[in-house]
Amino acid sequence: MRVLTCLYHEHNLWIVALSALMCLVGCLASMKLFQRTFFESGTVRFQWCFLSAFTAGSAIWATHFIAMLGYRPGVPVTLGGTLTVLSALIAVGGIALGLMVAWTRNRFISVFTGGGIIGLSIAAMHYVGMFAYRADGIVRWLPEYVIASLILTVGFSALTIDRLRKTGDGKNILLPAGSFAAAIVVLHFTGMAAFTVTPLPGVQAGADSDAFLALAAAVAMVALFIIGAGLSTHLLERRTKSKSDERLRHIALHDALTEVANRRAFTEALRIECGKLDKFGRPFALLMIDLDSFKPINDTLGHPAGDIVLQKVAWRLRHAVRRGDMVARIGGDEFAVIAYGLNSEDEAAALAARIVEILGRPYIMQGQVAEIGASVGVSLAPDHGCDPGTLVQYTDIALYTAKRADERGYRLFELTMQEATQRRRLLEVDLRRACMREDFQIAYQPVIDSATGAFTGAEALLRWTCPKRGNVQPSEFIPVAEELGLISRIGAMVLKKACIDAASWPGHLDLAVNISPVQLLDPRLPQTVFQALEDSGFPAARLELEITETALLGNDEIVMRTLTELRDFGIRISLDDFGTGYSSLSYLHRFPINRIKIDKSFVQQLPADAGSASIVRAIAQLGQSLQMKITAEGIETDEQMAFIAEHGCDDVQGFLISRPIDADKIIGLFQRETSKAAA
Amino acid sequence: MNAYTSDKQFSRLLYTSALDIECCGEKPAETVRRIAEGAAEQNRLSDLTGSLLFVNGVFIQILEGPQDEVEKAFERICCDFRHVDVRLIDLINVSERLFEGWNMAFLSDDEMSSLALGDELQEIQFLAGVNASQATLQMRSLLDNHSAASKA
Ligand SMILES: Cc1cc2nc3c(=O)[nH]c(=O)nc-3n(C[C@H](O)[C@H](O)[C@H](O)COP(=O)(O)O)c2cc1C
Repeated sequence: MRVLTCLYHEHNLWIVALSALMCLVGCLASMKLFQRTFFESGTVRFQWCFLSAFTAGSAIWATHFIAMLGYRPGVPVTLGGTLTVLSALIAVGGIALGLMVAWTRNRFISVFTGGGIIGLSIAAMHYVGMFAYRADGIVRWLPEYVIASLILTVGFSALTIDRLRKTGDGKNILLPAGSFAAAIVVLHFTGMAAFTVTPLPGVQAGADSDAFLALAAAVAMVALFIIGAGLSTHLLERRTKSKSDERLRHIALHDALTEVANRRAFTEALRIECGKLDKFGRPFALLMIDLDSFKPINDTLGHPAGDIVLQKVAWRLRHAVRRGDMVARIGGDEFAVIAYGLNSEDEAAALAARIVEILGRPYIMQGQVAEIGASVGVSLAPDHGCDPGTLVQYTDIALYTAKRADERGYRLFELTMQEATQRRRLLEVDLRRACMREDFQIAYQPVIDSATGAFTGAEALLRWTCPKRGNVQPSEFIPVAEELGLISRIGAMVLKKACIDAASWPGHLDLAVNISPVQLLDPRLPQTVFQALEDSGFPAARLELEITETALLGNDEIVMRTLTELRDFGIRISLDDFGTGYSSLSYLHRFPINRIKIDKSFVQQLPADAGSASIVRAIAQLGQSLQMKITAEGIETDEQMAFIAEHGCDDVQGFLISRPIDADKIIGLFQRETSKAAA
Repeated sequence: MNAYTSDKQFSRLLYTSALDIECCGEKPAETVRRIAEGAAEQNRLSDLTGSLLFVNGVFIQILEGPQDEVEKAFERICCDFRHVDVRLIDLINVSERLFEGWNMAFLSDDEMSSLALGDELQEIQFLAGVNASQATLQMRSLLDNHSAASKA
């Protein structure tokens, strides 16, 4: 009770209020700083410790000092300078020491030893400060209050450390701050209760109240400056830190090249949006975008140019989408858009169309021009799915369908696509398996001399009989094999087998093997051919490779090098399906071509169709003047045969002569003829 | 500014595009005029010169200036949804500007223009498809004739 009566009767309450305010502000600031020291490490930690101790020490000291100025002992009072300064130093030093101890992992040591040191240093500060306070009267100390004050302040200080450890770096520091304030205030006023002054008779109380008030205000101001400095250091530093945290976050969630969201951010956003769909039913559309013919840009203009294109693509995408939609780069040349709140097919289609349009426009960088296109797959949530996995899968299927369509552009997901895609994926699996097991057969279609009717050789044709699907047409599986990159292997296998088969044919008969455009671009092709010839012992002069016009398109240099190498080895080249593709007479002139094969679409309309007849005639004449052999394919009737023979095609093949037959049968056919000739 | 120090310090590009009828609502002429004004305004800031023709719903534009500015402007143009079917016809380095003083001269075949101008514009439209440099020169001389006439 003496504590309260002392507080009430012996203090100037205005000054006490000032001191309380001082204490509160000081404690809050100190706790922020204490918190920091718990999370830093190395030298920085000591710097923060110094700053904390300085701030907290000033706060405690100022609280005490101001409160003392508000104390009205009723006797004249003087202050000892040295001890007053010393008391401040004790506070700073003690708190620094206490904090350093409080950092230890061991909770007991941290709370009781660290907290204890802090508590005792508050007390030491107070009592040293009291010795500086000289009252002209009879001073008496009440030991029980002194002891009580020590116990209380140590208790509250330990509690402060304990709370602080619990709070971690949380925002709410009211509890530790309150407890620290309690440690200071309780000590002070209990300590003051322990202190009694009896005025000496005859000595008047000094009228120094005004001077004291001014002094109190000055001290409070200085102390607040110190606290303010400590706090603002902390805040400033926190701001730069949070800025750099933000920067780190930005780096973690954005694609460094294009500055749009990266795959991680996209996955996260999609997950969150699916969650919102569950809760609030907010629809959205997912678009995935794949750039067509982007790779050639890297290959021909270089990677820096490719990077600029990607940046422009990202930039254009941001223009094409609506405000707030998310654009992300989820792969090398793959982007995705989450269009929030969009649920009608029309709206989604319009957005996809904008994207296709804007990405299809020309790109220029450093004087170079690039043209690319984009395919877009679209799915809608919740119409097509409600979870990220399904949506991504369906969008992917739509994209896959869009990429394979004749007319590039966008596709909205439909369930039928799933079936088609599924079918194709299964075909891919079977084809891979067949390729691994070399599960292909070769059929041979004989070729005869149109004038004599004698065999001149045969064309090797690839056949695939899948155990599950039966016969699969080459037109169906070859494009798939090309896309999967299996064609070179399959082609090599065909070459090898065919050469081995043909090695046992009579010596005047030739072998023709088809080479796909993809194979022709493979620089290893000549090596593969030479190897097949060497392994089988089949002479190069009897081998003819059939290429198509499309293969010659736009890849001049590589193809020219390959063809020349093959020709130099004695192998002949023929141009297959002539007249159906981008026929350009300049090919015939430029590339080392020995033979033209007239496509069966012309032959089959003979002799009735005048157009086809004149084309066949023209090609035959062309062959003569360029000194190339001419073969007519797809002969089915005697009339066709007669027309062809008359117009000077050298060789013919077709059902009229023979269907494609397997290796055993063709050798029988050849041997029969040879023996007939011998007879 | 350029990496190389040849005298060909400017880029000049020629492209064509079509006004997107759906975007411009009731008043295509109004939209076209706004595009032309915006372009001239922007080009003043970017040290670009050139000319913009609008004929039969088709834009034919020449842009010339420092390489990076031309590229930036073209990127802006490619981000504009008021037109479609953007076709880059020609992009070359040149030593001097052909349209010095014109931030974006604008000519169109609207109701106000004379028959002769309309014919000339159509000829340029045809030329742009077959001979870019000839089309460029024609645009330049058209500008001389036309501005002389309008000043008179
Ligand atoms: C036909 C046409 C011609 C344009 N010509 C120019 C041009 O010469 N210079 C330019 O900076 N922008 C040109 N633009 C682009 C737009 O004016 C573009 O929207 C404008 O620069 C606004 O840019 P902002 O997106 O920075 O606001 C053209 C657009 C169109 C449709």
